[in-house]
Amino acid sequence: MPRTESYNDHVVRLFLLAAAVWGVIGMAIGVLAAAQLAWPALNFDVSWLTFSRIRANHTFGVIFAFGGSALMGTCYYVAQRTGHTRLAFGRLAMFTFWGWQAAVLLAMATMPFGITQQKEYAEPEWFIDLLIAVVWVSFGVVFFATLARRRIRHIYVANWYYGAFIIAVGLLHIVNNLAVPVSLKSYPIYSGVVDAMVQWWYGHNAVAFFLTAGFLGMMYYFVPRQAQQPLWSYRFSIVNFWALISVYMWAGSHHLLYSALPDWVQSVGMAFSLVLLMPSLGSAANGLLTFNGSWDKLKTDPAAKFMVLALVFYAASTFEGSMLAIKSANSLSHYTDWTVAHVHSGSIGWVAMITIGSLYAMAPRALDRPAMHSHRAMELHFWMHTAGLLLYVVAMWAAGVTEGLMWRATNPDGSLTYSFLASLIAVKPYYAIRLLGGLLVLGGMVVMAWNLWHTAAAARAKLIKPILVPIPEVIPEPAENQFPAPLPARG
Amino acid sequence: MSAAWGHVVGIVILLMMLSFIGIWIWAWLPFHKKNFDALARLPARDDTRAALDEGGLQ
Amino acid sequence: MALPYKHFEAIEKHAGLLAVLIAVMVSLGGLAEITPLFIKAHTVEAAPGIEPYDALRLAGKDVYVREGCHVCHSQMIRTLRFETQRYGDYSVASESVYDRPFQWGSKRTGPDLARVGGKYSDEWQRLHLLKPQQVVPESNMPAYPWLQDEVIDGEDIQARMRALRFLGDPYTDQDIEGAPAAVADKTELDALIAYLQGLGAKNVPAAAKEGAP
Repeated sequence: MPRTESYNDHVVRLFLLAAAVWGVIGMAIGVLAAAQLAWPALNFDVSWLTFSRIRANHTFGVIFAFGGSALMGTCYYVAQRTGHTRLAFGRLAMFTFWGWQAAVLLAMATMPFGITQQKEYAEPEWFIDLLIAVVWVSFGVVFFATLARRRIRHIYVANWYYGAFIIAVGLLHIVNNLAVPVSLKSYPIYSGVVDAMVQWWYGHNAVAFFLTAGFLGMMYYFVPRQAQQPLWSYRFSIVNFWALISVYMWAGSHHLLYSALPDWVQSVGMAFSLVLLMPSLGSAANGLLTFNGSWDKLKTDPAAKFMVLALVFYAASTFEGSMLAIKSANSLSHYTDWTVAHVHSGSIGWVAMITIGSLYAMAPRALDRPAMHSHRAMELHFWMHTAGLLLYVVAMWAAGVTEGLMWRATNPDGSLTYSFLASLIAVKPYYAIRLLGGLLVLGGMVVMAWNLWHTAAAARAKLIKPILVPIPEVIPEPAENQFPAPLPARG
Repeated sequence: MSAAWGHVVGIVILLMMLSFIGIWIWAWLPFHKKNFDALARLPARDDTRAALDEGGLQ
Repeated sequence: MALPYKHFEAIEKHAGLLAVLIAVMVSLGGLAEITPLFIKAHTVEAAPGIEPYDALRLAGKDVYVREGCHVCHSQMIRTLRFETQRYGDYSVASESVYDRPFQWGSKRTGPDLARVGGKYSDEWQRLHLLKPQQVVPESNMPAYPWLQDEVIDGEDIQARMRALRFLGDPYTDQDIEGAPAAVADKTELDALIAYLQGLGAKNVPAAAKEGAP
């Protein structure tokens, strides 16, 4: 172990750049898809521009390309900072960057041409899945090897979330994508009801471990960092961690209520969804209360604003999720745009906002600048994003409730009141409002990309000096009994 | 669901609950307070040596 | 040099232990819920009357999957009165045993299709797929004109049937040999219509008729 060492921020910067680019691309496709739902002529009768084909490009683009790049970049940053050590296996880390970019690019380039498994959020075909699996295992190796060479004795809790994210997503990806290839096409080894259960075990937990645990890792580091406050309750974060990762996996079946899935599985899924309220709201409270003593930052710091609103939307959308998992509520909301509203309050509200807040917090440090290039651009981004989010979510809530109520409305004689088409006509205005919201969010991302580009001027000119790891000169011998490891198994 | 599988699932859920309560008790032991307080301060001061020099973290 | 870091070994174990514990905790839920379905799926055979897709309908099903129809159309009539009133008998598990992947969907921008078979004529379906707004002016469904240009490849379908047989679907040698003749000169549009017209029509099992709540 050398006495001087610098942080490996090069790979972090690359992921930062990739996140900004994919964010703009993924959301632009989302805007096109939203426009097509309002005006179908915008499909132009071109197969690879058609809504049903590019919908996966939007979801895959924002979740795995944008979110994945942001998660891997911040994960490398956080593991180094909280461990006071340089990233392990620099070359393998570079491979995870190029490998991940290749995988998502390949996925984005094949899906519109019909080379797709059409399993929601796992659309890429088997050859891309293999590449993803290799990259993911490498990512895990780099991360856990970095933990192993850390200088801080305890593994900081943000790393636990990142660790759970890596392990669980690897497991989910492999189990859900088992398939027999025919050519470029493959058939899943599961069929019918088993495939449905495996798929929603995957789909739900991709939300749990990719979009929640991963981004909670981000939150548990960047929120106290930006607030310049200690984490409100460290011990509470430990309890929440184990509760979250063990309970989430049971709740996937709430996506299949009133379906042909056996009743007991539906009931177990519903019950665990309600139990999930505790760790979800616990983490949100822990993050928000960390701002105690620093609330004045909200006046001046756009990154802190993004983080606070992200936590509010995390609390709101997880609460909504548990409520929608109750069978009677689900009978109204399922298959309607309410689901779309819920997903986007989670993704534009929680995931995108915590990411943007964290990127604004991390970028100047990783790029060796005192601050972001433009403060006003960050402010503008915050207001565009917030306005877009509210327009989007409120429009889709209204559309979803309208559809749900119209589908179930019956006349006094027991016949159905509305045709299906009537419900579509009723929600079309909301689709136009949703498009407007999406445009605002996309515009905000473009502003962020512009801001990052200028903040990175020194990095682009390769003028950056590596940041040294603060290593103590003399390392005192710790007393054995003073250092219980932070693992319950040893407690 | 077969009855046997029902018992298995029930026992697993019971064990999960017990370990949850165990973790809660463990996390609240006064024994850990010093370390946890130091860890809670870690992100806010990670570019300095202060985090390292503080007790309980090295 | 080595002495201050002598704890590394133990710490590595902690990181590893953390990883193992996480893996155990995240596996429990899936195992508890998926294992019994698996056991059941392997012991219960498809209900009588439910046959694997013939060559043309299989080709059509794969077009349906490729185009992503499930993004807007579910194939799962829930056990709710207003659903069975609108779409027909509720869906049961044995109806989708040959669906790889399953096509239950998660969003209805258009209506459920689980029992759409026979509800409209072939000609209506053809026109609707080529120019949806000509049939339903207010519809926001995109047009799929390229389907009429592509001809189904018989050998490709044979390869697909062999892969499905490998996975356990009961195709006979005659089924596979006869596939190229069955799809000869058929376009993807023909295949998709054949698939749609078979949905729910051929597959209604007797059990679904009884005791709808």
